[in-house]
Amino acid sequence: MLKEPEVTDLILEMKSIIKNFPGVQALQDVDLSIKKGEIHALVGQNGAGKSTLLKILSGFYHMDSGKVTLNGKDLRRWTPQQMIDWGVSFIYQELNLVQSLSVAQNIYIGREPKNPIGLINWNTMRAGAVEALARIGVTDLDVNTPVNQLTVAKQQLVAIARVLDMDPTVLILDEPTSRLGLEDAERLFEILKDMQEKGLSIIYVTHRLSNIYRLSDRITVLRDGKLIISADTNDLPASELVKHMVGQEVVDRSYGSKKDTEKVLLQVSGLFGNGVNGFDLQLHTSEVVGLLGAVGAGKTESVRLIFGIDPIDEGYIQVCGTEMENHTPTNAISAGMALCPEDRKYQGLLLENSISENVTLAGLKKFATWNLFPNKKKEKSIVFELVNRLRITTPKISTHARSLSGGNQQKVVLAKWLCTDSKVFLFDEPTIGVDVQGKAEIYQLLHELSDQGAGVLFVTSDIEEGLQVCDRVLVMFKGQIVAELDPRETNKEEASLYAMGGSPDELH
Amino acid sequence: MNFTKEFIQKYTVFIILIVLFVIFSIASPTFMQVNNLMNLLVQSTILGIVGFGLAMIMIAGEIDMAFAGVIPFEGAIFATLLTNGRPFWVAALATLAIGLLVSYVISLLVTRLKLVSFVSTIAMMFLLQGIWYAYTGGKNIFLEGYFNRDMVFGLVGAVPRVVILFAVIFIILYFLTEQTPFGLRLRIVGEDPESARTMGLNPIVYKTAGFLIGGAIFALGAFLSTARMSGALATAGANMLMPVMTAAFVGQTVLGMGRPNIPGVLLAALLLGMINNAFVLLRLPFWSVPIAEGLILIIAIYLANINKRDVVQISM
Amino acid sequence: MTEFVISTDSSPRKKLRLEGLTLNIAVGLLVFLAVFVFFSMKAPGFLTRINLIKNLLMPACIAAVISLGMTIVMTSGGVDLSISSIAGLAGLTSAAVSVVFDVGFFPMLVAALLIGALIGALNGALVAYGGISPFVVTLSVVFLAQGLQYLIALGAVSGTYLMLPREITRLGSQPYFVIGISTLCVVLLYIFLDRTVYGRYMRAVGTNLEAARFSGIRVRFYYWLSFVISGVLCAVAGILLTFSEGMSKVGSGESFLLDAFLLPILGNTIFGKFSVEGTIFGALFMYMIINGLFILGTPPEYIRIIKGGLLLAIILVSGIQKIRSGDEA
Repeated sequence: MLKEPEVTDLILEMKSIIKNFPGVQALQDVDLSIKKGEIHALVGQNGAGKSTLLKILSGFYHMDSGKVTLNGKDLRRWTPQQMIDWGVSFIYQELNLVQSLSVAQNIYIGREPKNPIGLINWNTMRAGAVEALARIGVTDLDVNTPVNQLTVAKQQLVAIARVLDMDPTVLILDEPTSRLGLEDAERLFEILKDMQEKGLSIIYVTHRLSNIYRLSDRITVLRDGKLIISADTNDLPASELVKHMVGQEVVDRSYGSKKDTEKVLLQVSGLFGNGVNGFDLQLHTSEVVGLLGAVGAGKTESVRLIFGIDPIDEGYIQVCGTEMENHTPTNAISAGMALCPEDRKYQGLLLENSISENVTLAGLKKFATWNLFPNKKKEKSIVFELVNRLRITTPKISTHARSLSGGNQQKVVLAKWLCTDSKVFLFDEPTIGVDVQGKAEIYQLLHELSDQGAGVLFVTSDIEEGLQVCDRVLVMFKGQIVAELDPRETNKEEASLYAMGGSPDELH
Repeated sequence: MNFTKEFIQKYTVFIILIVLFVIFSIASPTFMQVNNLMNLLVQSTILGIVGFGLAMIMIAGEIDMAFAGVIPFEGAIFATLLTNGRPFWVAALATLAIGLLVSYVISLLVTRLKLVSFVSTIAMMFLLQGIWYAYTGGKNIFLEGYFNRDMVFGLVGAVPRVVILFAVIFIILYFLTEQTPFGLRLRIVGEDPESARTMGLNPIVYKTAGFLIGGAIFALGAFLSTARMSGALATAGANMLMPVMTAAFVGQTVLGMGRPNIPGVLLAALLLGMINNAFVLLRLPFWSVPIAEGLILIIAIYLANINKRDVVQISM
Repeated sequence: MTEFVISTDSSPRKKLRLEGLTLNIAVGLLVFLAVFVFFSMKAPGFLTRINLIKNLLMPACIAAVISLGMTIVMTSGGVDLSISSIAGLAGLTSAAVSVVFDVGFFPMLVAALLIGALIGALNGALVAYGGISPFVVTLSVVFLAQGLQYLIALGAVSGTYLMLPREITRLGSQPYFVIGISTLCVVLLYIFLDRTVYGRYMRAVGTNLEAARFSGIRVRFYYWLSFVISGVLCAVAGILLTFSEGMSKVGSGESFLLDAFLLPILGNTIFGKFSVEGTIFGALFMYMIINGLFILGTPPEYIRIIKGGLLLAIILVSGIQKIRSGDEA
């Protein structure tokens, strides 16, 4: 199954790449070899090391040890600009186009065509842009349009046209179809295949099975910073691919158990907006429901819609019996919702303030005389109580939140909501950057909450964690819920399959 | 013509300009006379030129409040050197040198020390005002006899020389900002420094260039202002601060561009000059001028931001 | 009583940070004391009651009140260029009201506060609800305020100077009047920012708008409110200025714009955040230096240079501090 590519075949070879960050081994002895003219899928779960590897290739990071050979030449150190000049181009999800400029201008930034006096030759620029677009099969785009008036799909085409016009030898794309519809994705595939025929080598990072099996010639799978396998796509069926990605199943269902569903605390029907295409949910008392899926599947977007941060296009939300009409975080909180946001440091906390001030932020009026003057004694005692109950390790409650560890910071965010009368708790990726003990404590706290009658929605891209902790699990893909699973009756592979857009038949 | 909301947003101030022009022509018979129009142009010139300087810095994504301190100081240096018998070109060069020095220091503070341009240029402004005061004792320095005003304000045919200068500078800057790679890149650095970096542009280089060009233009403005009054006046800077900022900000929206730009500043300066001119002709009370200017500024800015949703905070 | 687990997170950086802050305050107080002692010894007449109260405290108080307006706006993340114009306008209005309607102290006070609150509300509405940069909004308000000042002055007395009745002037030149009202403002504002729910919310808005929003705080409202309070404070300063000078003219108060930037930023550098205590410290420090140097014979021109240089030095210091304590990615 594993075929060592012949040396002369390779356009790019990364060998034995090691990269360590303080406390974390991001890459351990990873190899990646790209043949000339192939489309190579780079696959792995969140945190597997894909983006670290690519950042090293792009020159953004420096590897600790290893060898990188491009077109037969060994490379030492390089800057991002050098890598681009050597023919290796990247297209990221953020696209990096200048929004207010036109298509033609964006294609030519940095290499603007000039006339003899030094002024920009707009005609040449426009003609060149039309040509660059035609080269990838795009003929219906007015090159004078400002980029911010284009759909994401079209913007992506402009980004690709720009990069391809500079004649790269290797093109790296990071999850390019995450914001594209079916037709646009098809168009992209055709362009890529066309470029491949003309000799371009492509590295393609994706979570989507359809992309992998339609496009790629070979696949490399990373997991936990290690190379698991590199093989021809034809030799690696989906079921095996998922097994490699997901690894050993640690069967630990110590938390979740099917609870008797009573009242519906949170009812969401037909939610549309911001990339979410139809989201339904019923969260009951004493329930911990998991929301799983790859990055970009729409989990955080759904949570933001539910909490009132982003405006809803369509949908119905009811919290503890109250229908949410004027939907803002303030109203969501009054109705009984709480959110521990994805970015706990910059969305969940005031880093420069004390733990005490952070904890009392949302429920301040509860211990204020006449709702105006916070009673410092009451504050102190409540904060002490919560710090102990949640086992937040800190010498003083006046310590700045900035100096706490990830796990403790998360607990402070949770403590904030325990000061309010919340019944519905939304947790968005609460255990990212938290150590093992911290994670266990957070799982425990979640279940204490649900034991006391609250409803918990637990969003995570770590499938194993989701299955471990929740009573039931919803899997999202492309803005919709594609599966509802019982952790005791499913496994990591099945859940991952759904998260990648596959269906159960592909499993067997 | 289609009167969509977008059209209104883009061109309201321009329409106001035209409407006011028509109204003034009707209301005052002297308005349209060549003499008066030339007068109007001259009045707008200094405002416009200094506005161009500020616009260059704004295009690069920064702001400079220090010009209100630099310009009187430069004027004082220029006037002092002349009244002390130095030749014209020495005085001019010294003025330019000081301006470039100040601008370079500011660019260092902003690009290397990463200070916010807003507060640091305010600090520079006060510092320079203080230095000016120490240097001049707060007094005006007059140039009668040392300087031939005609060099700047004499006529070429029916047109004062300074107006021709205004036109020439406008043309140069227009082509520089709208038609050269440098101008395009300057704009990118100002609007989206992150994307600029990914595309291989170095924001530090471009911002520094913006500040230096602006500084040179401010020096020219100082010279013209001193020439016009035949002396370096104490009030030169303070009087300029608000109108120039207004011209630069209104210039963003008057041609519907939604970004700092040279032609917009030209029109805004003409608009402000026209208001000043007409209000005098129509004998309107002088306090109505700042009110009118303030209203126009608010309208222009409001329209420029009508589609924005997010709250703006300023970091110090 | 409950007990704590000693933090295992005793990173050296954290220690340095806490120490850094109290170090700042300690250094600031020490320098203050040192300068005070220096002037007491070297500047004849510095330590006298008359000098300290009339020449130091009184101008410091007025500057402090205006700077408090800027402080609260900066606390919620904005900036207000129109503060001195509002102060001037408010003072002028109260004088005009007295001249035209021949009323006493309270109506004058009310008129001024009303104007201050209205303009503050306008600023706040355009900034917090219109989403326009506070810089631009308050800049245009400066224009309007200037025009209005002329309008009122000319309308009231067809001139640009308004004289106040003698009783008011006598009241105003009483140092205890100025100092008393300023102290009242300081105390009220301190209580508001530090001891009330609304003050906490406002500070949260300035510290981290998004986190505040995610915690259910109505961020736009509190942003708006800070401008209103600033307007009222500026109006108070305007009254103090007008009463203490016995007259009002167009353009009074303009000189305080510099102070209003300098003092809160000075307080921020020393105390770590925009705060009432920081601004007061800055005011006392600044005016002590000015007073002392003046007695020692420094020509007044240099004051501007000192202030401007001090402002620059402060932002440089805080900029370097930021770089040293490390940027959070």
